[in-house]
Amino acid sequence: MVTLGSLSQLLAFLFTLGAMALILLGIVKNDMRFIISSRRALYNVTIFLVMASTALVMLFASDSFQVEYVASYSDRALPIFYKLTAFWAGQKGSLLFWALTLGLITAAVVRNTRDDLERRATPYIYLVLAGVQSFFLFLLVSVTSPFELLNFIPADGQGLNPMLQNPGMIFHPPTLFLGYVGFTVPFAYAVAAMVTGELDESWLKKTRTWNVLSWVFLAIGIILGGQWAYVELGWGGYWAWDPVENASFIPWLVATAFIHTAIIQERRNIMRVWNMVLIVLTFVLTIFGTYLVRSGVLQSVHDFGATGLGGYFLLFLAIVLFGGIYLIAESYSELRTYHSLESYLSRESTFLFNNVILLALAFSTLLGTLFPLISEVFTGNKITVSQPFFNRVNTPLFLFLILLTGLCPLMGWRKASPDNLKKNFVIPLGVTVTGAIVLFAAGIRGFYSLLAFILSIFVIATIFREFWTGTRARVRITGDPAFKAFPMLLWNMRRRYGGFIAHLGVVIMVIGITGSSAFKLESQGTLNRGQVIKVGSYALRYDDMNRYKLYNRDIYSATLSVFKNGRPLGTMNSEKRYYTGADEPTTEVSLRMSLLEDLYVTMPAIGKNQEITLRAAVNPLLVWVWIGSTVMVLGGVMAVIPRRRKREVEGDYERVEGDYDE
Amino acid sequence: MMIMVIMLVPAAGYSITTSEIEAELMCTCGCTMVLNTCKCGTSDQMRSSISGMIAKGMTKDEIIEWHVAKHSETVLAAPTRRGFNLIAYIGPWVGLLFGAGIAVVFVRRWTSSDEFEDEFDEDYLNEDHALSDDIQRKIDSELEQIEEG
Repeated sequence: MVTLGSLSQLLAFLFTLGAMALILLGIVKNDMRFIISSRRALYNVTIFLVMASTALVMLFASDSFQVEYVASYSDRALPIFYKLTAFWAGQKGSLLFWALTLGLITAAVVRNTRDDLERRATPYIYLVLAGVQSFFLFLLVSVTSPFELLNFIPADGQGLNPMLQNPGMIFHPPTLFLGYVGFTVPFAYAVAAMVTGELDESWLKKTRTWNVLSWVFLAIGIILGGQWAYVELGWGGYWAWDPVENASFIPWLVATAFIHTAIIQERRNIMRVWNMVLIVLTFVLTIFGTYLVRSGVLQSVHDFGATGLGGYFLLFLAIVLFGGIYLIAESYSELRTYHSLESYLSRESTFLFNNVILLALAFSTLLGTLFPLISEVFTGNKITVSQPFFNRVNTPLFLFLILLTGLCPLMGWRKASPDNLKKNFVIPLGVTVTGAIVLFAAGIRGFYSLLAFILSIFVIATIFREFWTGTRARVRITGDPAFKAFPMLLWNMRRRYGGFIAHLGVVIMVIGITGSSAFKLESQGTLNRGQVIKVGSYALRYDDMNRYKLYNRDIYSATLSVFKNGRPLGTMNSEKRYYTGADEPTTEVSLRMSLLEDLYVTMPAIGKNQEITLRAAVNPLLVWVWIGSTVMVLGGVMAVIPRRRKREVEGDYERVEGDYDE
Repeated sequence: MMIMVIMLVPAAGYSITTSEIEAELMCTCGCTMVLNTCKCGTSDQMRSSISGMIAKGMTKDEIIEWHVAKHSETVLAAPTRRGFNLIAYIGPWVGLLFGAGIAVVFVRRWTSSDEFEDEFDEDYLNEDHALSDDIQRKIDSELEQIEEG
C-alpha cells in the first residue's frame, strides 16, 4: 500500500507536468491534438490521486503504524469511522486531500469544457488548474509525503487528538477545502480570459455555479468549525477570531463581495476590472490562509505548527499575486468599460458600497490577524490581538453591512425614482419603527444589541416585502392561490429569491449572535451530591456520578437534575473523558437547546470525593445562529440549481420571470 | 414572531463579573486562548485569583492593570489604544473611508459620464456584439447565395 500510494502520488505529479507541457505545446503550435492529449493526462492525474488517497485510507484502516503519518494520527483503539477520517487530520494528509479535491474538480472542468475546445481560453484554463495542482503535488512528492516510513514499527499509534473525535470535525475540513479549492476554477477562467482577451462576461457566466458553490462550501466549513467549537471546546462560544478561523473568514468575505459584483457585470457589463481584482484576491487569500495555517508564523490553537512549508507557500503566493496584478494591469484598457451608473440611488450603487464594507471587514480582520507580526517588526513587541479587538472594530462594520443588505432590495436597478423609494420604504420602515419601540419597551438598552436587532427587523421586513410583492404579482397573472403562487415564485425565480433567502439566513444569524453574546448569563461553582447551582431561571442539582468505558475512553458522567423556575425539566449528563494515550482528559459539553435559549453545562473538574466543579451558561437565541446559517446555505444552493432548457413556447409569465430572474 | 422571541430575552444587568474580565485577558499557559475560552490548570488559577480580587473590591481596570504589571501587555486580549497600536484601531476605518471615497468618485464619474451618451447609443454599448459561429456561418452562406444569385 505504501508503494502504491507513493507511486500514485509521483505519477500524478509527472502526469501534471506532462499535461502542462502538452498544453503549452498545443498553444505554441496551435495544434488541438496536444490539447486533447492534455485532457487525458489531467484525467489520469485524478485517477492516480484517487489511488493514492485510497492507499492512505487503507493504511489507516489496517493500523499500518510503520507509516509515520498513520502512527501520528491513529491508534488501535480509535473507532473505524475516525480512523478513516484521520486522513485529513494532519498536515500531510490534508495536503493530499487538497490535491485529490483539486484533481476531481479539474476532471469536472475538463469534462464540462469538452464542447469548448475551439475556444482560445480553454487550454489556459487547463494550464492554470494544472499549474496549481503541480504546486501541491510537488510538496507531496518532494517535501512532505504522507507515505513516509518510520525506521521501526511502533506497537501502537499516538492516536487522534480527542478534540478531533467529533462528527463536526469530520466534515469541517473537507467542506472548507472544497470551498478553498473550488475558487481555483473561477480564478483559472479569469486568468484565461485576461490572457486571451476574451473579456466579456462569458467567463463569469460559466463559473457562476463554481463561485456560489465554493462560497457555500466555505460557509459550511466555517459554520461546522463554529459548531464543533461550541459543542466540543466547552467555552460556550462558537467563534474566537483565532488566526486560523480568520484565515478562512477573510477569503469568504472577499468572495461574498465578488458574488455580488459579478451579478452587476452580468446585468450591466460594468465593474469588469473590479471583478478580476476580487477573484484574484479571493484565490490569493485562500492560499494565504493555507500559508498562515502551515507556516507557524502566527500562534493559533489549531494550526499545524512550523511545518517547513511556509517558504514554499510564500513563493507560490508571490507568483499568484504578482502574476494576477500583472495580468490585470496588462488587460486594464480592455477591461475598462464606458457604461455608466445612472444614480447613487440604484441597486448597483448599494452593491458597490456593500463591496466597500465587505472589503473593509476583510481588511480589518487581516490587519488584526497580522498585527502581532507587524507590531513585532516595528516596535519589537509581539502584542496579542484577540476577540475583544475584533468585536470592537468589526461590529460597527457588520452593522453597516446589515443596513445595506436591507436598503439594497428597496432600490431599483439603474435609478430609483423618489415615488418608487417612498412606496418601497413605507412598510419596512413602519415595521422597523414598531419593532424598535417593542424592543425598547422590552428593556433592551445596549447600543449595539438594540441596533443589531432593529436592523435585522428592517432587513427581514424588506425581504418579506419582496416575497409579498412577487407573490401578489404571480397571483394576479396566473390566478393561482397565494399558497401555491409563493413556492412557485421561489422555484421559478430561484436565482433571485435564493439570494434573498441567503440574506434572510444572515440576519437570522445576526439575531442569534447578538442574543447569545449580549445577553449571556454564566455561573460556576463546586458541588457535592445534592447541591444546586443556579444560572438565570435555571437550577442544576448534582445527583450522581457514574464511571464506564466506551470505545477508546473512560467516561466519568455526572447526572444533573434540571429545573426551570422551580419546575423539573429532566436530567442532563456532564462528562469528563479520559482517552487512551491522551495526556489530559476532555470535558464534554452537556447541552439543552430550545428556540429561546441554550442551557450549556461543562464540568471542568472532579474532586477526590467526587465533588464536581460545574460551569453553566444560558446562551439566549443561540440556536438561531445554526438555523440562520442553514437558511443562508440553502439560499446559496437554491440560487445555483440549474434551469431546465425552456421549451420554445411558454406562458407569458414564465418568460417575464426568466428575464427578471437576477 | 421574531420580535416576540426577542422580547422574551431578559435585559442584562450590569456588575463586574469574572467572565467580563476573563474576556479581556489571555491565558498565560501559552495556549494562545483568551482566558474565558481556556480550561487548563493555569486558567483555573487565574480565574480564582480574579474572583478573589473582585471580592476584595478591586475595579475591572485595577484587576487588568495588575495582570499587565505581572505578565506585560501580552496578557491583554486586545492591544491598548495608544502609540503604535492605534494603527490597528484606525486602520480599518481609514481603509473604509478610502474605499468609500473611491466608490463615491467612481459613482460620480459614472453618473456624470454624459460625453459617452452623446457619442454612443448606450443600449448599443450594453449589448454583446460578438457574433456566434452559427450566425457568422449563416451570414456567410446568405452572402454567398446573394453573390451567386
